Amino acid sequence: MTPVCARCRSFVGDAAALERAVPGLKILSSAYGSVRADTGLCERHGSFVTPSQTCPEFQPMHAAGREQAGT
Amino acid sequence: MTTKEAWDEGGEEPRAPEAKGWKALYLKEDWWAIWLGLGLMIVAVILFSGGSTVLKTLAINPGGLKWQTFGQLMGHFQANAGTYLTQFVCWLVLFGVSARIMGIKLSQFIPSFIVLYVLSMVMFGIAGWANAAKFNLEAPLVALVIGLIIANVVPLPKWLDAGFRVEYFIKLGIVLLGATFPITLVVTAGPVAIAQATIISLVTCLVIFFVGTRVFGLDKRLCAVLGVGGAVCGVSASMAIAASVNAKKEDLYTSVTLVVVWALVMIIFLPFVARAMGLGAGVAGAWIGTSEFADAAGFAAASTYGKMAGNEEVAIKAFTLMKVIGRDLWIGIWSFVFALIATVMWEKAETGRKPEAMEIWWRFPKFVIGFFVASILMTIITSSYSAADFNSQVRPNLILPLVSLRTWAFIFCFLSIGLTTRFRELKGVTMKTFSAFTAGVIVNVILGYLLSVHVFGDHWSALK
Repeated sequence: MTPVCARCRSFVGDAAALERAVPGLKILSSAYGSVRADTGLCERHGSFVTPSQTCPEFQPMHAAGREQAGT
Repeated sequence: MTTKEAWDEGGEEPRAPEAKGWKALYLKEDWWAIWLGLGLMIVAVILFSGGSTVLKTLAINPGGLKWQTFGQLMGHFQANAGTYLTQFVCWLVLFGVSARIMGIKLSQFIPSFIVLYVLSMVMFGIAGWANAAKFNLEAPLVALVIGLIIANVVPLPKWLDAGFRVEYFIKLGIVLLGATFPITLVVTAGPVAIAQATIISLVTCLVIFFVGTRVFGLDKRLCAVLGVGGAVCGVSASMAIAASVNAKKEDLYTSVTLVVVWALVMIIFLPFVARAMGLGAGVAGAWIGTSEFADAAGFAAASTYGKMAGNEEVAIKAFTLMKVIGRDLWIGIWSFVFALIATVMWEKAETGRKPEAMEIWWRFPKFVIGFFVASILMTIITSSYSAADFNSQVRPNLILPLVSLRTWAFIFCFLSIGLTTRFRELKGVTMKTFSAFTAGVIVNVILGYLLSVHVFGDHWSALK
């Protein structure tokens, strides 16, 4: 698996979740618009990233599921 | 609030990131605005060609009623109750189906849209009063102010925002505007608009960026987000840039606050100052297009001034040329340029990110394509009519119904701006950040005035 942001458990690419994460975003804009393209939010660093970016702190999505199942 | 908490609050499961490829055709509201706008236009042309007046009937609105007594207004609604109900169902189906496909819950969207439609009828009703103009009760301003009052005084549930899609409505309105916008006008007036937009975009962005970084010592990523937001199209441009420079969530939140506050100030300020100066509708429309940040806010200001000046069409045409055709095209270019700067000069860590020229296309506001296609198609379709036939047949039975549908989309948008603006939710900003952005606003407004009134004044005055 390529360790890119799109496959990281910290990546948020859902439009509805992004609009809730940044209050006021939809007043004069929209996360459903073309200009956002596939920009997402990295929960770990609190910064905006593109899905194809990489990061030394990458954690695969399924790891989150295992962690939650074990707790 | 973290995004995971936001998920919990919304009661939805996180979904996979959306692809930039073919999925965008049904997951992005820009494309839906194109499908709906062109679809409505094609249906209108087919009905018109078959001699049907169904669309003319369905595109009803009380904005032009000029009622003197409240009884007249009520009489209009009673006499046309069935037509309004049919129109409402049509809008609900079109917006509801597209919203559902984009991932918005219908259980939230439907009640929200019912509220929006009823309030829109009230706005049209107020604007249709014979004395409305005397008291500056222009529909966009009234919609905005009433929306703001409701959002900040009445404790509406947050989920009710689901149907208040400001950007979706304005994009549909712009595509429908294309159907009444001769492509010949784009060809003749477009180059000046692009030249003016280029000057203003470069100067405003650089002023905010350099004042922010050099004078106030602010973070360069924050300044890039603010600079492009002020120079191109507000929060949308800021969001496009955010990923290019890996800006923080707080940076975008700051941009939201500054853009919303200044955009609201400009909606009120620009039309009244333009009127005090006695500017023509074309000149004022160009000035508003140069100086407002977001399309939705700009259309509210341009439409308001157009109604004040008694020439709404020209004010909206000038604004569209300047803002939609001129400035909005810069989004992708700025994204690419800042991605290049960030990866080559700012970043020390390896992120695997390579700036690509395709960024310009990925972040291109696609609804503009719909505007151009609608404009070209309608120009071709109507070119075979003589001027007399156009005025006696095409205009009342094809063009005006489309104008009415566009006006509905705009009212939905203006109301939604007010209904989603909760001042308590906006982020507090530092004086340095406010000052850096405000420096750009001041330069933008003054330069926009000089370009629109003195440098290209003859061009914008001649617009018809």
